[in-house]
Amino acid sequence: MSFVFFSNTGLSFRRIAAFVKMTLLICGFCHPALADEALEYKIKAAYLYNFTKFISWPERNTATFNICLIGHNAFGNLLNALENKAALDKPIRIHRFDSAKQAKDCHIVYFETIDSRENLSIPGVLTIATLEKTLTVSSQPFFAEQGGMIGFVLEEDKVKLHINLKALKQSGLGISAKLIEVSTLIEGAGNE
Amino acid sequence: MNRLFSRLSIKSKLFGIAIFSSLFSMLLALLILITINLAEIKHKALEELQSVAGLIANRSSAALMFDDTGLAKENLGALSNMPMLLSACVYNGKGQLFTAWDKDILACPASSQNLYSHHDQLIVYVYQAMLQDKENIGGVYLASDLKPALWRELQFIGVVVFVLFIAFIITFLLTAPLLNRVASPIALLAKTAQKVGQDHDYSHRAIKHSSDELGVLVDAFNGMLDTVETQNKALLAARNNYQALYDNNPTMVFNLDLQGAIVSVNRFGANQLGSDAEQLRGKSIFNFIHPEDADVTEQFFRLCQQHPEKVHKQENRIICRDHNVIWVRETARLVDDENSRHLLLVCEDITETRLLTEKIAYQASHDELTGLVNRRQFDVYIQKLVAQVQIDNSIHVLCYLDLDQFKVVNDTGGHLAGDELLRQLGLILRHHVRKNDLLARLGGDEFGILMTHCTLAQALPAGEKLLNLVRDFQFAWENRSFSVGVSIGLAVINRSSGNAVDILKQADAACYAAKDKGRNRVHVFSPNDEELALRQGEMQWVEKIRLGIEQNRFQLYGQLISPIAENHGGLHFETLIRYRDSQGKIIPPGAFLPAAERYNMAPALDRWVIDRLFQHLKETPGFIDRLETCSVNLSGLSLSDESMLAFIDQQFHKWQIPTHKICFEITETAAIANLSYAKHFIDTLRKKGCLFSLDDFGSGLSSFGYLKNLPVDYLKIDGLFVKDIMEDKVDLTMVKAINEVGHVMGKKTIAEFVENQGILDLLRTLGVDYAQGYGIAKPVPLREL
Repeated sequence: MSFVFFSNTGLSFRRIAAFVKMTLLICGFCHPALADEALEYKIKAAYLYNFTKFISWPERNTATFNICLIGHNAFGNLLNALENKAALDKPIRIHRFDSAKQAKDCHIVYFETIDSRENLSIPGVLTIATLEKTLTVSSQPFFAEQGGMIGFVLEEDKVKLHINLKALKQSGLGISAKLIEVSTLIEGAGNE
Repeated sequence: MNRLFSRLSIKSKLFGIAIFSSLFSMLLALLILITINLAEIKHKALEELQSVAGLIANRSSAALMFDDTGLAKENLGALSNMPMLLSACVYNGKGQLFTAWDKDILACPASSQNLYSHHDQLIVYVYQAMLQDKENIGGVYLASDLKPALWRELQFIGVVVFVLFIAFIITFLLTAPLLNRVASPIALLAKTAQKVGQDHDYSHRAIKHSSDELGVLVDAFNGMLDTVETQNKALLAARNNYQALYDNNPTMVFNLDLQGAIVSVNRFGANQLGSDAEQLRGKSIFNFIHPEDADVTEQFFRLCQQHPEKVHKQENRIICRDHNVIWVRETARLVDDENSRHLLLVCEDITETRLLTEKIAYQASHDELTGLVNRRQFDVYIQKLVAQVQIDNSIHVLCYLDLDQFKVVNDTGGHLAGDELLRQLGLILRHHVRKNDLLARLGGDEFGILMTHCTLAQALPAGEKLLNLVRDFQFAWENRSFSVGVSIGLAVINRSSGNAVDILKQADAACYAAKDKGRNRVHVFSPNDEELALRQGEMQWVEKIRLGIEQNRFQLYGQLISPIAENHGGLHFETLIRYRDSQGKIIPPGAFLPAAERYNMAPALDRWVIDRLFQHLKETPGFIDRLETCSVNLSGLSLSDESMLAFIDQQFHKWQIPTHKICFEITETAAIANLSYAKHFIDTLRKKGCLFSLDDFGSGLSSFGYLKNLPVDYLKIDGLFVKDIMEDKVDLTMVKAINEVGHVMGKKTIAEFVENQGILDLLRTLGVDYAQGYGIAKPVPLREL
């Protein structure tokens, strides 16, 4: 059913791409080579899954490993493939929510940039109690600096990670040094 | 390689074995060491590389997953201080080269496809897949060079080899004297054995150094040498013994090959041939065989080869040193040895025997006085000629010569003169007969000439020539001169003439006819001659004797023999024979006995005499009792007649005559003619008790030497000496000597021809035992005794 849903969203894809281009230009990190947004999200989807290997979550009583997408679904059906995999010995489930408040029992929350339209400040988002013990990931600029845990940043045509170690530690998650090695650590605001 | 080893000395072999085994074990150890080390190095390198790859894989997982080539490269960069590393490559999950660190030698493959861990020659390749929760996220591929590690290992092994080599040299230097202690006694033993072999001197002994197996060997070797030495000495002694026997054997012993070449000869043989054994080797035996015997010898050798199973003998001549010819008896046999056939030839010197045989043969066929062929041989030649005539139809003439007036020479000049005359005449005749003619003395004053291939026409003038020769011959003896004549009878030998005896009779008859016609003439035989001879000559007696025996025309007479010293004892007489002719006239034996002897009738006459005498003795009453000794004459032919003994024996049995009363008289000449048989004859009868007397002793051949060999009881002194002893001192001395010698030999003596009392008296003074003669008693018929 979800497959049918994704296949009918060709129009919204084009819109997202146009938007990303625009934001990238704003950020000044634009690169003509990474024009293909599909590839970019494919990488990001892979990264989302890869995080499950390097991040450790406190024990939580859930049947599934939940990856929650908040806001506009920029991934399309790229994430559907993840539902065949498992993390922490639990089957992965993808949940989509319009608002962060709706999100419960999520292991990873990905905030789409679409939420900026609603003027929703990210620290605010992150203070949501339901997001405790949840890895927050976003492609929003300066996401990590603003209290998010991991931000996808395009550097030199590549998707790079910015990690806010403080935010990670505060929410009780552990991180592997290997992940730190491939990432840039950001001194950002913590989650009070 | 095996031959080389076998040629080495024991010492070298021991050293070789020690060196070889040490080197081999060293090499083996080295090989194992190298193999193990190489495997270990590879294994270690692989393990090391794998762990490095694992580490890199682990460290790079995040970099891969988050596409951080920089970090990945940095990770690989940490490997740059591994000197052996040639290349390090990281591949992403799709197998594409993610990042690489490499040296120029070996670049990273573009794809991870077909990559796996392995080693290729001196390079080790390791591929380590990167897994994140069983998910393949990429791979690490490392290649490392083994060369530096191997080189280090080789250096290490080199050091080990060097150390081992030093250790080996030290060990070798330490063991060398020990090996020597094992090898040198063996070498010494071998040297001793070699010395024994070279010198053939078994007195050498090996020295014992130890009591181990080698010591036992030395003892056994010395023991063997002892045995060999003893046996060798014994063998040598035996060989010398046999060699001496061989060399000094007084026969020539040859070993010849089948062609007659000398293989070996004994020393005696070599000496005989005037050379030494070494020089003779290889020479042909035919060099020494008399040329005339060469053919015979060749045949002899062939015969030996044809009949190898037999021993062959023959006699031939061999030329010895200084061209001296000897007669040898060759005894030969074919001998097979392993390789070839040889002829073993033994030559015995029989020269002396041969010469003696020849001499005897010569004497048997020749007359001693004249050196001419004797009657016996003459008969043989006639027989041969008669046989030849039947084959080739040739014509020959037999010539019979009888001297006239020879008796005059004999009677006036004595026997010596007669003998000398015969000898000289023989020489003259011999010079005047043809070369092919055969001259013989037939006995007494008779000669015979066999004129071969001669006709009567040729023979007559030849006979005349001989006649004149004899008539012209003047024989001088003791200042006297004699001349003799000859009567010659010729008989032709041709196909129609009879046998040898007939021809001889014809010639004899012709000769008689020549005499009858007035002597000194040549007469050719004609059938009338035979009649004449039969009537008037000896020849007539042949028939008369035969008839006389048949018709009892012979009569027995006896002449007394009386003891000289005293007149006692029984009757002692000699039996004599007379012929009574058709007119009743008594003929004395001198007329017919020579004919009986010549024509082989004497034995028959003797038998007749014995038979009649024994009959008379038996049948005359009281005669045997009166009789002391009765002597009977035996002719020479009877003596050699083998059946005579049996006849006499049979007569003794037939008439029952006591053997000791019979004495057989034999003449010296007859006894000597066949001495051994005469001796046998005498011995046989004497054993039976018969007596023997030797008649006419002193005339004839007369040698006292014979007396020793003739075991007779009486010696009758020839009347020729006795009748003149009153006048002739030589005769007296002869009689005296014969009497004395006879007495010394234990024989009784009887003097014949005692014609008067004077002779008897003289004989008495001489000590002669018996006398016989007209002075004692004339012969009278037996019945008058």
